[in-house]
Amino acid sequence: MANRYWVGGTGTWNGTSTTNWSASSGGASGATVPTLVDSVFFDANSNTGTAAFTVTLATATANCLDFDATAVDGVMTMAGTTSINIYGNFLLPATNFTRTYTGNTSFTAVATGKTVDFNGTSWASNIGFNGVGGGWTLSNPLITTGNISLTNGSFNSNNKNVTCAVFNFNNVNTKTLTLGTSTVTITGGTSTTGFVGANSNTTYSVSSSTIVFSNTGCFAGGSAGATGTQFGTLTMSASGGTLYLGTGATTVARCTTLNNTVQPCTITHACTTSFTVDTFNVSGTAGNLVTFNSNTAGTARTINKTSGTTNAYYMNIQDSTATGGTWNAYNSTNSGNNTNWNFLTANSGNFLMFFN
Amino acid sequence: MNIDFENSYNGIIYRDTIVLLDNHTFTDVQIEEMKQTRFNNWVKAITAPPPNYMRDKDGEVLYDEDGNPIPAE
Repeated sequence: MANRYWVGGTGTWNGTSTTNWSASSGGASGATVPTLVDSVFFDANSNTGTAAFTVTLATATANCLDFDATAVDGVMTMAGTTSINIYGNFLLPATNFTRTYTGNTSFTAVATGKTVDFNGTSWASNIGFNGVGGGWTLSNPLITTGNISLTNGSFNSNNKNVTCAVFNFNNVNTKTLTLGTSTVTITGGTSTTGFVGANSNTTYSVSSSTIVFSNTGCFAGGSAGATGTQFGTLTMSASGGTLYLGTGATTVARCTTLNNTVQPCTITHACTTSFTVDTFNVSGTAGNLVTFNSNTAGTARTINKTSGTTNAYYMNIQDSTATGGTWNAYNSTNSGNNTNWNFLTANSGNFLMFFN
Repeated sequence: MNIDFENSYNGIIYRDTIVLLDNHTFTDVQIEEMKQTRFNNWVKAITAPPPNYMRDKDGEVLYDEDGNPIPAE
């Protein structure tokens, strides 16, 4: 185990070149290329004065223990396309750091207590958390246009936002997902991908989280039913998009609240297990109905509440069996095969009454 | 030192922490600019159109071995 300090300004981090590696800050180059047991530091002596410099990851997968760039004094650009495996902490500065890098970024610690600190820098590639016994905590939001996967270990978002195309933890490995009060925004899923996890070997701490779909995607994972895995708020915010609840192979966990921020949109129940929600706060507007249906026409899916009255407005409902409490759909279209939905017409008086 | 802040967009809460060296020299104005920049970057991310994915001849999305959709080049 050793420390490796970047020296000489702009250069390439590959599997062979020792040109930019030193055993001490500002020391002579020629130190061996860091491995998974070596921490790497980019600091005030990595460049000349405060000159900008670029570190390009190329040719071979980069490995390191800690990745610490918090002490740079000139703008460091991380570039390249090859992968990096980080076995320790990942610490970026709040300023003096830019990224053109697009390689897969894997956090592969096998011990807990690791800090992941993007500190305001957005990523544009896939990010993986995959270390048996590893544990990572975000210091600040994690934003990537790529996918995030949790394969092994414990991921704690520490109440910070997570934004990605797809958040995938749909595997049988042992893992823990702790979201606290975080908002996880899914920006690019499909009918079977989005926020999709396993319903076994996963420990969930997600009851206060918010999962937002800003484009079409799928919410699945966790155990279903009234005593199932409890998520917080599930929000559909993709105008014209579809939120799929579960997949054919994966159940859908219960949520405290299901709501939508845009109309029109579609919410499609896509698994055979029931979907349990405490508050169904889904409605369209006149001319912009929200469609609530099944992924298999003619096969009804069950949505369940423990009790109380649900009032939805401007819906187009098909193949839905509502259970628990009273389910009212005002000014809505009954497209058939619905059970226990009351299709009603609201006049202005009703609206005043309901919205006050 | 850590500077926590939060903001919201269309009812969706954004929570962030700016991590700075204890002896940093940033002014309050500069820190406010950092907050706004980070918030704007997040809004840009969540309001972006969906990514394009590779599809087969039937138009079905292609997935990698982990089950994730494969981005189009």
